[in-house]
Amino acid sequence: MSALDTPRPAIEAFCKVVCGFIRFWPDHAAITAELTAHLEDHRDALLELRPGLTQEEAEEAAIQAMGDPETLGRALDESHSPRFGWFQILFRVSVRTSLVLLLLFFFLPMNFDNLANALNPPLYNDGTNAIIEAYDQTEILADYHPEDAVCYLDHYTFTVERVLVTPRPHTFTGEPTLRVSILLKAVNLDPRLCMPRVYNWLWTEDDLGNRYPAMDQYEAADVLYALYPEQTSTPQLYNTMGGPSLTTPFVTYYDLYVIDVDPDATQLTLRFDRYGNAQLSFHLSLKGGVENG
Amino acid sequence: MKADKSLLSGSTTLLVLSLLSGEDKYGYQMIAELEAKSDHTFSMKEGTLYPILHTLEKEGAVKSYEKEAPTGRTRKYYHITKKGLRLLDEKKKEWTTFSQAVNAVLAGSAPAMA
Repeated sequence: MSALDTPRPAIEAFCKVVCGFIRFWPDHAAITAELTAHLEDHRDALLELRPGLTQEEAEEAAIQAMGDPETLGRALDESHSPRFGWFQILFRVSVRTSLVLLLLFFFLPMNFDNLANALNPPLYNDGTNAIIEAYDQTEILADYHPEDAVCYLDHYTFTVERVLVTPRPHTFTGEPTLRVSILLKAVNLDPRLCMPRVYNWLWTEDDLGNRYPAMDQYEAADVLYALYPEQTSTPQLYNTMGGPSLTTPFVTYYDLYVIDVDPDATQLTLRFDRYGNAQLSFHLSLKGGVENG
Repeated sequence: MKADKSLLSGSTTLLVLSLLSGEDKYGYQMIAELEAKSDHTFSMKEGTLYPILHTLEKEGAVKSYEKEAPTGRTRKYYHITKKGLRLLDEKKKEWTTFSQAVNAVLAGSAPAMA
């Protein structure tokens, strides 16, 4: 069969004449392929029927059976009208372009790290000392999903999905304190609003009156204290940290943690009040029980 | 006996659609089948088939796709759509009405010819 497939100048010439009458050139290749296949099939059938024929003779006979190339070309030109063809191409291109734009619209707000996270979501607390991996080696003081921990802020719905309390020695003194990990979730219907940047301005306060400022607030206080030690209060050696660990167009998860929390505290309040009245406020018990064991 | 060309042209669409109603076929396969089934009555110019197929495709009566034929070569297969099946029904009815009318006239004039 391979020997029969190679030279076929007569077939090529026939297709060229046919295509010469078809104005809509983008279809030339497909038509040539289809007619070539037909002529080859017919030629092969003839060769099988009458082995005495040469390949050229069989090809010529097949072409004869096809009829006048001009008539065929003109007839095909009618069913491949340029106006319809170009319209179809324009339609397809515009559909594809709008699909791509739509996808870009959804995913442009996400950078590549976040895209990777969305495809392969990190474990809870991943990168923040991986408590889950060493769950059975860690003493868990509380691990629960707080009920009714919902706040509505502008176009977002914030919820606290999990609170995890573990013992941790104080960063400087080594005395026993608490580490509180909080999984905060933000949901937005408009994908352009994904990943609200609240995390640097979240801060916490316990029921004993201790404040655990956010990283930015802490740094600001630290700078002020260095400049005017006599005018500002000493920054407390506590802070709230963490950032978005998983971002999709509609949902953002933040892994937050507070370290050096007073071990006598029974409640911690997570707050965001940077923009006056717009605020978040979650009251989280530190004795919430262990339900996710 | 060879059929008169003008008699054939109107019914080619019907023949093509009915050939496709059984299974998906490619162009040469349809020609070969047509010749075999009709005992070489319809040995029309083979090229005529393609403008008909392409027009039917444009109208949405058939759809085409590329597939490897049993011979190992890639062929453009045609598949009849729901719209094509409806068109086939219509054409069949038309044809039946037409051929019945012709037969009736022929039967009426038969004694005179004898």
